[in-house]
Amino acid sequence: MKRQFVFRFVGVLSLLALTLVLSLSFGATDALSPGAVVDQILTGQGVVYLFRLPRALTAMMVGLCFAISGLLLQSLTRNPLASPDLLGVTAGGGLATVIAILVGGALAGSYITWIAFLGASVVAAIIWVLGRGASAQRFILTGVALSALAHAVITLLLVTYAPSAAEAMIWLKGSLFGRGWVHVKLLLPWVGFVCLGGVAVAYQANPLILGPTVATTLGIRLSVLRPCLWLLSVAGAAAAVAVSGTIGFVGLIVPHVARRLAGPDLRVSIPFSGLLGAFFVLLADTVGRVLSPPLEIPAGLICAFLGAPYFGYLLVKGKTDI
Amino acid sequence: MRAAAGYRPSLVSAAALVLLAGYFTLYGGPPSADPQYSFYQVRLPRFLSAVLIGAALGLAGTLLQLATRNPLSEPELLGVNQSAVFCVVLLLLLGGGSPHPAFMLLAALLGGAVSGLAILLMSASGAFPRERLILAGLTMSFFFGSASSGLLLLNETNLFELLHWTAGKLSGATWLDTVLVGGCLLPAGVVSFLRAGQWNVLLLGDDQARGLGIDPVARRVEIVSLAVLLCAVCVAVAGPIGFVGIIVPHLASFMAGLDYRRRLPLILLMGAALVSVSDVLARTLLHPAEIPVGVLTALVGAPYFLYRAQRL
Repeated sequence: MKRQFVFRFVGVLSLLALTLVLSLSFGATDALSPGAVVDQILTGQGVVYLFRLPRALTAMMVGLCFAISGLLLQSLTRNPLASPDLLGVTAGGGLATVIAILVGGALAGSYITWIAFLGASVVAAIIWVLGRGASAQRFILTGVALSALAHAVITLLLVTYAPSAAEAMIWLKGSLFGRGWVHVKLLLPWVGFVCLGGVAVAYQANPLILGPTVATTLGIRLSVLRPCLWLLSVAGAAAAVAVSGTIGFVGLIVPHVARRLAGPDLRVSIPFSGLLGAFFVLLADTVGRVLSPPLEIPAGLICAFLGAPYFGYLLVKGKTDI
Repeated sequence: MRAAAGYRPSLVSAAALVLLAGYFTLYGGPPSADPQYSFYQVRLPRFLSAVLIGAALGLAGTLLQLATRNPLSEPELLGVNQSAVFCVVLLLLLGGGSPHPAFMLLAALLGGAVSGLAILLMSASGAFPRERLILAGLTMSFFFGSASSGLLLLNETNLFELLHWTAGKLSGATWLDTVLVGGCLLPAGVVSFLRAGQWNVLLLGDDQARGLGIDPVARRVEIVSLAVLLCAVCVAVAGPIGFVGIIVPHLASFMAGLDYRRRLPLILLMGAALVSVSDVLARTLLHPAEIPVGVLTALVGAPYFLYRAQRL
């Protein structure tokens, strides 16, 4: 890494650390001093260790997964506006979850993460089968269509099973409410998979920017690389959706910021993207918790409100190139 | 221009479908205690609203596709519907109770104008090929959708009623609704027929249009404004009903060719047929429960979109 990247990396890292400290200190109860926070973590007792720390960790991992997933997806489709939210991956997870919550009721609670993961993977597989081939445009539009279809079915289910719809709607909004150590354990292997896999493909995937022909000429085996990219980005998004529900705009916005800070080289922008994603979701969750307790604003909503203006700025400025 | 596959038969069959849906809406269903009342105050306005909304949505989709030069443009996918919904939900929550439909229309217009402006900017720069425009529009749609459902969640009191409305519904349509939609559709339709010749030229591209003395930018502003007006009134009356605006123009151009002078009547009729038939199905398929008509059109429209995407 060049020196400027190292400085920026340290900058992002300290921002993340600062947010983490704030997130652990503040909440619905009185603010804790840093000493008390450390004390509670070391003794493994109190509100910080039991609730705030696992929730903050979950938020960070969810953000990391979504952001890296978005970055890989944007490289795969060579389209800066692609994101797991729009291409049907999160919609698939949402559909499976809504079915589980509404049909299965209380029974579904403990399996919800696995059901969501399964749903997202199934839809991702369908998109791959229907949309693969030379044209990224077709791939994207296939994802868009399946996403719309899934949303239509979700709405149908919500309206037909209205009494229990609120629970499903909250899940769909994307919230980190009540996430604990169980979720941290669930996410950890996927975070590892996405990070390691991301770094591994990064060495191969850079030439994709230049188009399929040039990439092939440079010795990249597209038939292997493309499924790998899709697999990684789906794994990240599906794991994140399974734990937190659909937190949108992270996978869309964060890769842009990461590319601005780190340049187009995936080997640098993937770590940046992961850190920034973690920072973004953690910030959103903390703000949502602290703004007006005891009412919690879902992190997905805050992400949308933070991300949309930046997206508008990108569109207006025409800075939507990879 | 593509040859027309069958102009007159398709006009006739669309009209027949509308009549059929009308028959089922007006005379079908269980007999009511007060036939006079249910016929004039419930069924007739509902049927007429469905017809007018369908025609308006078909026209709106056509207009957006023309303005963006993108065959996949559609009010729901470009975010026009959802931004209008957001403003209406805001009004409903701030105003409390049930405000006058005219105010809802104003709110929907305000919201629709936001995404209309964005669409104009994006189609003017020319840097937005098909899938990018759709993705940008979807992102707007996604944002406004999550913002309005966030508002709904934070204010749970009338969640169910609003939830039903945000799925697109025609139940409870009144004469006022019918008049509102008709009042917006009539001028929009008249302007469309008057401009149809110029729009044909716009299809050739901006340079050709300029060469023939037509200002493409001014025309585009006009077209998007009309589309926003139509979408806004439909949202204010019935909530977001998606995908009518993509199925109808495509079918119509398949049947009637690209000439707007021939295509417009067919678009209006086909839109009316699609929504009124969907409404009949929405009431009967899961009887006694009612499916929101917007869900039904999306269930038809999304596979069609998928099919179109495969053929690109």
